[in-house]
Amino acid sequence: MNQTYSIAGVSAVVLATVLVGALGLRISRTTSDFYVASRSVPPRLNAFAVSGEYLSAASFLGVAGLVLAQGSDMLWFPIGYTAGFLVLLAFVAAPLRRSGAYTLPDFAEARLESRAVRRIASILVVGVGWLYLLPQLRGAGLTIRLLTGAPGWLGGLVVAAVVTVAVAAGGMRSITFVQAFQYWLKLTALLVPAVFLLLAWRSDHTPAPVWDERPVFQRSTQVRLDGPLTLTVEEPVRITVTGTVDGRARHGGPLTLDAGTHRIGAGTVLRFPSGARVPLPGTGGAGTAPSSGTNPLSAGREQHGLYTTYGLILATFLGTMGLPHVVVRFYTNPDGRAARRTTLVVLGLLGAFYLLIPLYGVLGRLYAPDLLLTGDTDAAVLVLPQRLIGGVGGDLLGALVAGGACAAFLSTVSGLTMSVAGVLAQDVLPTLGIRHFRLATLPAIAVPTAANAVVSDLPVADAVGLAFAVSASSFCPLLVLGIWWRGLTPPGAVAGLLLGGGSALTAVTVTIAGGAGSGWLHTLLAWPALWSVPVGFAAMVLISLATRDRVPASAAATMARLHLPEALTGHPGPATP
Amino acid sequence: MGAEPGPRREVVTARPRTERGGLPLPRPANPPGTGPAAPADDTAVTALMRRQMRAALTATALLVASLGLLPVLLRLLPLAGAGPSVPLAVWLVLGVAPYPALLCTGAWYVRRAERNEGDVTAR
Repeated sequence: MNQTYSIAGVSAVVLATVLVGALGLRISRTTSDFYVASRSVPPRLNAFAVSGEYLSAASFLGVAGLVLAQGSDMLWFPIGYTAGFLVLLAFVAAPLRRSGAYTLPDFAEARLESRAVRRIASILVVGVGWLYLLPQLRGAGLTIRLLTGAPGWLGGLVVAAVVTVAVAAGGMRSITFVQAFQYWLKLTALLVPAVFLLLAWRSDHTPAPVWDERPVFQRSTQVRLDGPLTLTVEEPVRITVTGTVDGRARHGGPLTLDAGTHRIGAGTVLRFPSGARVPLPGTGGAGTAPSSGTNPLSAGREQHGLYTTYGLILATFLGTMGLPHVVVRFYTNPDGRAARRTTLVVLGLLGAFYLLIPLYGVLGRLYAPDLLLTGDTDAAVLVLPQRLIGGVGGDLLGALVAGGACAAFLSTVSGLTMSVAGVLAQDVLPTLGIRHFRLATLPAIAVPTAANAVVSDLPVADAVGLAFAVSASSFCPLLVLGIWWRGLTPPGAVAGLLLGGGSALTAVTVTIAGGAGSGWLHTLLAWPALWSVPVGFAAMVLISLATRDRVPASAAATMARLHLPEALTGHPGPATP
Repeated sequence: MGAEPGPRREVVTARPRTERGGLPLPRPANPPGTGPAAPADDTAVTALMRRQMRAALTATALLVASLGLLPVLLRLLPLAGAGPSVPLAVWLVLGVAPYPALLCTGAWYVRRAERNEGDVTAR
């Protein structure tokens, strides 16, 4: 990979981000500006910003990587990421805006008049935010490692530093412009290379990829291993090696790898001939599906495919509405109608983006199967331009894609840091204004950065799925029941948040820590939504029914405010188109 | 991007917060007689909520009927089985078709919800 071009691309994105952010800073003056851009963002601009914030490293890098490794089933990730906004539109968007609250804890307290619910919601917001930040920083580290060779944790640290400065300096107002800008940047960064990749694929006589079997090298491919690795070779293959294989040093000579497992030393360069099967990491025998054993989540998925697919669908469909960085953007709409229109535009923008993703996955399977060998499947999108096009053109397109990936994690990390810091500043540190908000950005991002250095390897898109599961089991019941059911009581909400969100959070933590081994128990813990969402809803409804006398006195008035158009209640500003 | 249209920006110098919660309430713009707590409004609110709920549930039902059944269908249909080559139809069904469908469902819902609200406002 040509580093000069890519570094130039990434630097350009960082520079543009700071510039657009500085532009916003000049008009960002008050606390209200800081949190919600004074609620004057028109629907289309807000939709760009929501999409720009939402399309994370998981969407830009992760999904294509999963498709490369595991095929068309993984397309449920982008479908879920988009469909979540339809559910949000139908049940939450306008009433949430009309509630007039700033954050999810604000909503909880306003609707239920309970400090306890607020506190629990705050803790869950921070938990979901940190869970979601973790894979973003991992994606950042991966991208920067591929571009510069710097170790992964350093890349995460650099991104964390840039975001801390940007968020602490500008707040939401400037972030609105930055996010809107970055949606278009990300779309361009995938669209333009996609056109050239398709042309290159056509001139290569449009080979079709093969799934479910071990992939083959379409072209002669050179692979450089950063760390030591154990490979399983299915059939003897003749390669050239510089480095150590099975403990013996080789210096560029040819070598036949027999069937069986081989230990490859760090820094070894292997060159495979075209048509050779890709050896896979780990010691799995014949019949082991690709990439199982390289990450903790895919093993369960292959054993219990339908369960995990529905677990993913439920988590993403219902989890989107509770993602703190998405929700906070809805308060920036002028009114409920605008909130709905914003969401509708978001549905279109996300669809346009995700149409491109399968293409990268399929081409990655054809032209970058060595990523299965090294386990860096998340890098598929980044390496494709050089693989297929090469030369200066490939380098330039590679720089564009690298810039887009950089925009992806910068925008999501800044949005998440913003909302986590907002909750920390309001509910953990004393509320004294902007000064404390700035202080709160530090723990908001330092914790996931530290965790990123410790936690074992998780594919980016999978880890994001875990955050969705927690959000779907806690905030989805709170929002849906809070908006549509007068009978919700504070004890009911507390029970639902604790049982639904708490159990999902525990399951996810056990999974990330690698404590569940394999088999059904592991699958249940790694894809908790199918059981934890019903638990959350059931707990909220049953405990609310049992404590019927605790229904807040203002429930009827709150319901009127949530559902009546602003023209009738006279609440937030005039409805201008 | 510089000067954006839309309503006037409101300046709030501290986090608006009352004793009972984080609500920026009440606003002076509340015209007399149309306060949300007026008991006569309650039936109107309930009726509106019911209609909005029906629209939301219809949209969700469409979502479940189309996308929700897809994993089972793909599992049952032989063409999508675990064969080494995934047919183009599967890629189109999973990679392309959902997005226009989601957008259309969303557009239908927004129209319906705004009409429901329009009926209430006109009354």
